[in-house]
Amino acid sequence: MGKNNLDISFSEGDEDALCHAINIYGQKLLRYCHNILCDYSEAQDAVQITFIKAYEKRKSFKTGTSLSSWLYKIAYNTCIDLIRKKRLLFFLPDTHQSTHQDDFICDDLKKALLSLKPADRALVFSRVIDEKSYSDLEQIYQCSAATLRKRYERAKKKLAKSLKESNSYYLRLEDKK
Amino acid sequence: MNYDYDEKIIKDALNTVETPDFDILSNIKNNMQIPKEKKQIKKPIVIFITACLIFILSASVFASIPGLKDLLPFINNNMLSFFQPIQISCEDNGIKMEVIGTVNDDEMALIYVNMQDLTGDRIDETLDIYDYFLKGAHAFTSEIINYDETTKTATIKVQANGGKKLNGKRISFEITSFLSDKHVFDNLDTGIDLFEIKEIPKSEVNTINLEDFSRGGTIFEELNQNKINILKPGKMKIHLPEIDFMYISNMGYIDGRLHIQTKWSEDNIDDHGYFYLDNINDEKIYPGNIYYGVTESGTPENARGYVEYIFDVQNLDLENTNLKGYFVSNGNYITGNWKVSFKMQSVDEEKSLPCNINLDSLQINNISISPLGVTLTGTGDEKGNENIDVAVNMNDGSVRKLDSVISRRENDKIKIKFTSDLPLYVSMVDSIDINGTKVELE
Repeated sequence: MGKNNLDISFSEGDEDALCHAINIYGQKLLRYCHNILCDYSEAQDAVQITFIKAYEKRKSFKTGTSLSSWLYKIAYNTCIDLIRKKRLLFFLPDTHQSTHQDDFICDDLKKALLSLKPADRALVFSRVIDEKSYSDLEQIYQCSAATLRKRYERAKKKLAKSLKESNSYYLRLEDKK
Repeated sequence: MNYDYDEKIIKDALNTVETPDFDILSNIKNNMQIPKEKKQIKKPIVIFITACLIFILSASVFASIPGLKDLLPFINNNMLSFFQPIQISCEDNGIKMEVIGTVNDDEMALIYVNMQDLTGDRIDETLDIYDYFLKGAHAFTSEIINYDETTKTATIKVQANGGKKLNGKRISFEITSFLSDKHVFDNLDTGIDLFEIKEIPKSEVNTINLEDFSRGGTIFEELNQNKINILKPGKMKIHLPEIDFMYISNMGYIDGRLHIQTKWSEDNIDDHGYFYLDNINDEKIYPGNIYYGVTESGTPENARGYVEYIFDVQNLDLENTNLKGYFVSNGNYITGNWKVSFKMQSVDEEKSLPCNINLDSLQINNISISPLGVTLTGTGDEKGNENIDVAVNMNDGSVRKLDSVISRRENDKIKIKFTSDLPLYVSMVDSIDINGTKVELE
C-alpha cells in the first residue's frame, strides 16, 4: 500500500490501513513515547491509546497532510495527558519517579532526561533520533519553527551537560600501553 | 543529519534506551472491540514483529553447520573454548546477518557478527554499522575486525558494557543501516594560495549570535565574544580535487581570521571532514567550525547546509603554510532490518572475592575475575585508575598483564575493569597483582 493510499484508506476507516499504519509507525511511536515517559509500561499504554484515538478521530485527519506527523502529534498529546494525570506540571521539569520499574533506561540517563520538561524530551528525541525537520515539528508540536529551534538548542545543551556530568557510561580510557 | 558534539552525545545516550518490541496490533484489536469506558490495556509478553526471517537452528541442524572456527577463522584456538556459539541468522535486502558467538561476563559482552552480501558488493572492508541497537545492554561500540573478499563477509565485534546481570539474559541485536564503500581523503592539498584569499569588507558579512548556532572548536571560547562575523553564503563554487560531495562556497579573511565556507551535499549521509593548516614543520592547526543554513532572504539560521571553518591566522607565517583537508565520504548507505535475539551465557564462571586495598585516591573493596578480565569495585576517585597496574598470575607460572581500562560509576561505587586481548582461564588463575599487592584466589 502506497503512502498516499494508506492516508486515504486510513481516513476512510479501512482496518487494513490501520494495521498497516501500526506496522509502519507502531514501534517508532513506542520508542518515542518511551523516551518522553521514561517508562516502558506507560509507553505501551500510550502507543495503544494513540492508535485507538487516531482510529476514532480518523475523520478529522486531512488527506494530503502527513499521517506520520498526525500520529506523532496524537502520541505527544497522549504522553503529556498521561503525565498530567499523574499531577505533573507540563511547564516544570518533572521529577516524577515512575511507579513501574523501568530497567530499559539506565538510571543516570533517566535522571538526565527527567531534568528536561516532557515537551523538551519529545523535541530532542524528534530531532536527534527521528531526525524530523522543523516543518514536520511545526505540525506535531503546533509551534513555530523559530520557537522550536530555540527550545531545541536550550534543551540539547542542558541534556548534553547533564550527560557529561553524570559519568554514567563506561568511558574508554587511554590504553596504558 | 550532521550532528554536532552535543547531539552525538545525546544520540549515543538515547540509543542505549531499550524499547522492546510490543505486539501493538493484537492489543489494539482487542481493545477496540470493547466499550470505551471498559478499556483495559494489557501488557502481553513481548513478541517480536519483524520482517526479518529468523532461523533458529535446532540441535540437529547445529551439528551440520560449520564450526565456530570455520566461521571465525582468524580467532585463536585458545579463545575458541570461551565462545558461546550462537549461530542465529536473519536476512533482509539480500544481506545476511549472523550472530556467530559471544564471550561475556555479568556486565560486559563481546558479540561477533558476520554480515554477508548475498546479491552484490555492498559489504566491504570499510563497513561501518550506522544504526544498531543492542537491547539488554548499554553503551555499546562496534568495529570491523575481518573481511573475507571471497565470501563478501565482514566480521564485526560489538562490545557491550554496562549491562546489568548480562549472564543468562536474553538480548536482541538489531542493525537498521550501515555505510560502506568508504573513501578517505587525507592530507588533501587544496592548492589554494592563502595570499590570494581576499579580505572581506564589513558590508559583505553576516553577523550572528554564537549561542544560536551549533559550533565546535576552541576558537569560540578564546574569542570570548557573543557575536561573530561570518561569510555570506554562495559567493563562490570551488571544487576540490576528487571531492564531489562538498565544495567551497565562499572564503575570505574577516577580523584577522580565515573563514572557509563549505556547502555539503544533502544526499550522502555521514559525509564529513575538516580543513587544517599545515606548515613546513608539519605542525597542524585545526579550525573552529560553525553550522548554519540560510533563509530565502539570505539570513543565517540555525539549520544545516553550510559549514564554515574559522582559523585564527594572526600569528601564522602564511608563506610557509598550506591549506589541507581531511574528508570522508561513504558511497553506500544501506538500510534494512536485521535483527536476532539470543541468550547470553558465559561459558566460564566468574569469581568474586572481597578485599581491602588502598590505592591512594581509591579504596578497593571487591575483586572479580571473568574470562574478559578483572573488575575492581570500590569508592573514591576513578581518575586514579591511570596509576593502577593489574596482572594475573596463572598457575602454570605465566603472567598476564591487563592493559586496557574501562571505568564506570554506579551510584557511590566505582567499577574499573581491566581487560585483556585474549580471554582468561579463570580456573587456572592463581592470584592477581594490584600495584604489587597480591590477592590469592581460593
